[in-house]
Amino acid sequence: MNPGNRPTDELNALWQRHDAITDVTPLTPDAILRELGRRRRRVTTGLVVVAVAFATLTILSIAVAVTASDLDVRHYAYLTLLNGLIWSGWGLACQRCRFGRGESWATSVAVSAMTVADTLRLALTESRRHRHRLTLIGIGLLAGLPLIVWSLSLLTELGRIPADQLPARIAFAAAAYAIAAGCLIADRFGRHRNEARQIERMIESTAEPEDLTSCR
Amino acid sequence: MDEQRQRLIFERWSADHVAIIERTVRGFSRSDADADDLRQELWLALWRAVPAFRDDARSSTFVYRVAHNAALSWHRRHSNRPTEPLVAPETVVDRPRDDGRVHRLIERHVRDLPPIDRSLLMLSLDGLSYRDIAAIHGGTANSVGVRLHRLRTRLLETVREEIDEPR
Repeated sequence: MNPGNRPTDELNALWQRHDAITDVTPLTPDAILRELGRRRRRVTTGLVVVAVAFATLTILSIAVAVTASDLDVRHYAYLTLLNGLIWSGWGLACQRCRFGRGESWATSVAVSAMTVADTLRLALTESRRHRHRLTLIGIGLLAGLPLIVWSLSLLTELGRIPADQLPARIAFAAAAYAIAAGCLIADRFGRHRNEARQIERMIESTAEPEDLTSCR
Repeated sequence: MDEQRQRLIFERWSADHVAIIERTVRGFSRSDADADDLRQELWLALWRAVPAFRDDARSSTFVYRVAHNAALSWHRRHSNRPTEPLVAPETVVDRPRDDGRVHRLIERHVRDLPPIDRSLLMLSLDGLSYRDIAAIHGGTANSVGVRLHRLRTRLLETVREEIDEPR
């Protein structure tokens, strides 16, 4: 296909002489639809579990805000922030999974049938956007920390948390924060950072060669 | 696009372009388990991509684009996974036993290349023109030619050295 180019001819001859592919059975549309259905169910189940957990937390926080007459504005601010974080996380999960389709952005980029270079650039943009969202949620978590401390101290002052229960409450809050921060850090600085680096390396390797004259 | 038409196009491509998918699988996977996983991903990607196909495009170029994009995406997600050497099933690849060594040698060196170079070289080994490869990868046919010339020269030198070595 590239006449006159000796390495091409020689290599292609070596390659194609023994490259007969036979007896391969492709996936049938029915098998594909079954597999897509299975993935969709798995993603939907996961999202439903998360949604139930988030909704329960929201209902609990609203119940606390409505029934406790002695809360001040900082408590309401804390509850609002907490719910903001919870629903940001929920929105992020939905965005990542393309709710109901079981597709990540990486998959949808891959099947867009753009050129490899354009796909890589889009994948890098999406990856960066995702990491920025994770950073914002991390900032939100950090910003929420003083509010939690204030909230615990005020509730203790008001006598709503007995002094003997305070260590347990602090431990519970710290554990919840550690889990959230652990997940966030693993996502922000783990897989996604590695993937972004790989995409960057791939984009670098698609750059135009400096010397375009040596292909003869 | 309705599902019936998607099925028709997909079934036609399954028959016509199965070799494209299988060669992409062999180029990007390093173990049998990887090959099964990637093969499934590529067929799923192709199914999902069917509605994006425009009749004015060549179906083989389209299938190459989807397959190589999906394989590169799969590679990024799985590049840190420990692997075992790939042993191609005899039912899948039919090669004469007496002289398959050179082919396996090329295959091994192609798999050792960085993913973009590997993709370029695989397309070239499939016999695609520089212009077709540029349509799949982006960029100009000239730059594709330069890169491929360097890759092939290097690969051929390595293969020749290993062939000349006593077994």
